[in-house]
Amino acid sequence: MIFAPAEFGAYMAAETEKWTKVIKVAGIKAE
Amino acid sequence: LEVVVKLPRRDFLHLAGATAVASAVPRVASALDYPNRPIHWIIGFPPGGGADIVSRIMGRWLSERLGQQVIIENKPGAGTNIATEAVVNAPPDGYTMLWAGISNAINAMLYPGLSFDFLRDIAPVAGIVLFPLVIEAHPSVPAKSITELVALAKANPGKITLASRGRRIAQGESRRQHGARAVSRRSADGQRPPRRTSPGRDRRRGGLASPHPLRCIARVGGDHGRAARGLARCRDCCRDNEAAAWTGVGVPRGTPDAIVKLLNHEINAGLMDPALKARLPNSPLRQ
Repeated sequence: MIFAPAEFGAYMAAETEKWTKVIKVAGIKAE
Repeated sequence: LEVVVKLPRRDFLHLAGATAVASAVPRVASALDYPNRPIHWIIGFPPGGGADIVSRIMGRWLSERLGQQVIIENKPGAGTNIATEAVVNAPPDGYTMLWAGISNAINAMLYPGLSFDFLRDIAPVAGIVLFPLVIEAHPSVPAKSITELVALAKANPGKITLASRGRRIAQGESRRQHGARAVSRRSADGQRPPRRTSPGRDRRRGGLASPHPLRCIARVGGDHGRAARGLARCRDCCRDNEAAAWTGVGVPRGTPDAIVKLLNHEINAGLMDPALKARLPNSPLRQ
């Protein structure tokens, strides 16, 4: 995964958005 | 004799300016001669797992390139939140780095009470690797493929149990979500036992830890190389069911750009180095 800092930042943000959605939709809770 | 020195306003401003410059010098100097002492690389996983191994490979590379020791510090706990919090609260001077990854992306939503905001408080430095993930089954489970596993779960509602490497950590979380989705989407409810596996007790396929090597059922994300040749991808059976355990490095927000650029440059140089690349998991596994 070769990224410039800003590219990695965009990747981190996109992943956070994706998993936030997955957790909301699936109703996943920390145990 | 009393001498009263009156400073014209202009001179005073000059002096004030000189003071401001003087106090700024040490910060600039510390960025210029960076690094002049050991760097701490904080990782939210215990020693012995994939994240730890890759951290140590990269840490050694960075130590050689930067001329300063990069110390790998394992701070496991709370699904990597303890390690992340430690780095968020460290001075933004380039001497504390965080092994960041998919757990951070998941935890942002999963833990509403965190004292930090991952995206706001951690500045991105570089990506490292995508860890390949797998779904495995005990040899006594009759299913040999993901399709068969889903069929088995459908035929036996509530009887299929799932375990993950950790309840909330990256690989564990995504494996669990995948497992749960694979099962629940097909109207059978998967149960999860209280059992946990950790890097120290990881039962890898063919691993030494288990007398009964687990059977790989499907691969989930990343490049599995030769080890998983012929193994179906989870997404072949369950549409959109794909994730990758990405990893990278971050530093406290506010770390000078010059330091971020230097670290990014050296990490990427390592990822492109053929000898180092061959030891990382997203290159084909050597057997």
